[in-house]
Amino acid sequence: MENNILHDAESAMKARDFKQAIALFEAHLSNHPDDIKPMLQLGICHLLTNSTGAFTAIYSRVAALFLDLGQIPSELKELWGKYGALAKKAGATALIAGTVMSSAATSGCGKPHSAHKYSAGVYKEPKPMTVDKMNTEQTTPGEPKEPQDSMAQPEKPPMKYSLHRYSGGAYIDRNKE
Amino acid sequence: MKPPATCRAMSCRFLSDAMYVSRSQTGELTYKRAQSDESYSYSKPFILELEITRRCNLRCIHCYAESEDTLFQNELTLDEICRLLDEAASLGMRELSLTGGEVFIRDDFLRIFDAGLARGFDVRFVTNATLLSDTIMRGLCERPVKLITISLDSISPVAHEKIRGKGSHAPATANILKLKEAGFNVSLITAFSTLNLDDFDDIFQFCLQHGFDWQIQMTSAKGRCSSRITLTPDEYYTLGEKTAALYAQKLPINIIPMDDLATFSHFAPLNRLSETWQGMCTGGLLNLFVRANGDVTPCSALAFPQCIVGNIRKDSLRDICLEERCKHNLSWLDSASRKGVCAECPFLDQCQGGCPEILLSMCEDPAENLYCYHRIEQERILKDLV
Ligand code: SF4
Ligand code: SF4
Repeated sequence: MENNILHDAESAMKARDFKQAIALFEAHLSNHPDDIKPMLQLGICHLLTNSTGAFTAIYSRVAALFLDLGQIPSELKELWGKYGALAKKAGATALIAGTVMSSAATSGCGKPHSAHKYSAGVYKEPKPMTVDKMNTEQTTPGEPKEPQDSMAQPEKPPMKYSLHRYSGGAYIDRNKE
Repeated sequence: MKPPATCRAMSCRFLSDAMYVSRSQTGELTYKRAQSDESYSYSKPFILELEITRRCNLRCIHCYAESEDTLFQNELTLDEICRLLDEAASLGMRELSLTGGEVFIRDDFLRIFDAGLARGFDVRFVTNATLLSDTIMRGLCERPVKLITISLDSISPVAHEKIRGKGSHAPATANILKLKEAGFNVSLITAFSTLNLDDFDDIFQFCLQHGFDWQIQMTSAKGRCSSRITLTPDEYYTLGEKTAALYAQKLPINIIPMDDLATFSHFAPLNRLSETWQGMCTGGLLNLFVRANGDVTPCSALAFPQCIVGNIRKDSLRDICLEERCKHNLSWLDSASRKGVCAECPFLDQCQGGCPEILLSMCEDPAENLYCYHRIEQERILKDLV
């Protein structure tokens, strides 16, 4: 029965039915909260559905589990390495205070304080960023800025400015962070 | 040649184009120009992109307009262009972008330019820069030119001429520098295919060295361009990564990823490119394209028969805009009609499937974008980890 759930979860993941895969992995993890491989697979599903917070939380949780174990089980080393590489690319590692698994595995240093706790199914992802939050403004704009001197470095415009561009010409903020 | 004392090229403020954008409850975008209180929408777009001729002295292998050095029948006359500009100005359009073919090949190029200025437009143009005569140079120096955008496909003459033809590289690079020296706002535009993807770093160095803003886009399979030279999705990803690595830096030049490169990604710095996406195609909203034969499409990138919303010889520009024909023409882009990975995509509401040019020219089914970072990342991760 348990194996069937995992098998179905993996099949759903392969078929890109991430919603179903997440539900099945979470069902499995509710009975086996420390089963690391499905936890990592669940994390990947979260990454691919842009729930970066949940993905990060799982990274943090697994790093803590490995610290408790004092080592990374050999059968998980490859998967964990790839997961870590994805976490790094996603910028997730920067969000986690004090979790550096490579040192945890080798030096057995103190347990990190994870920024997130993920125990199957309870993680609540903050609302994803919307277009409006990203680069539009619902309200009437306030006072526009004076045009900049073309030789001076302009100030970074507030986000309610559109960073628009179009064929043959463009405005893009020069002072990107 | 030095610009005369009357040259006003530097008085144009490239950076004054900042716009506020607002979204209504129904999802409609409206743009408001920062330095005035004018707003722009489908009934009053901001930019008129005007193809003044399809004729060109070059015969680039990727040309969407299938231009060549021949007289095309049925092109708009100066009188017709003036009438069009009257209408566009009365609608409140504010910027005129002249394109071709090659704009300098028209004897009346400067008169068209003046017709735009006389109606209050900021005028800019796109050129291959190979035909910059002394007369044109002098004429430009006497006029306020908002921006000159020049196509450059490679720093290497061999690669550039493979795309644009023999003898095209030396005059283009010489004139690019000449225009810059004269004080004009000059930006370069490169369309990447398999023929010049390896030249990315060299072109960037050239832009950096000389202070050119750089627009980057992907060559798409339309017009004369064969799919044999267009990028694969994996190569598109590489182009995106290279572009994003520059875009994310604080550079003294602007790196301008075009809409085809602004899809969503899970990873930094590639995920920065989607910052420049407006949440939807802005064809017909920010810009409207009129072809040399009078056909109107929402964007110069949408020079497809199915995107024609009228012809200014038969329809008034006012009707085309007030009836919001571009909006209706692009209504197939709504989120609900997306398929496959796009339909299930976590970014769908923000993306709406990407640039329709790519959907129509590079994808088997326009309802599903194959040129998307999220899609490619998803494929790679699943292949690697499951
Ligand atoms: S999968 Fe489609 S909707 Fe999602 S980011 Fe890519 S192009 Fe946009
Ligand atoms: S067709 Fe593409 S390039 Fe043109 S406005 Fe739409 S998204 Fe942008």
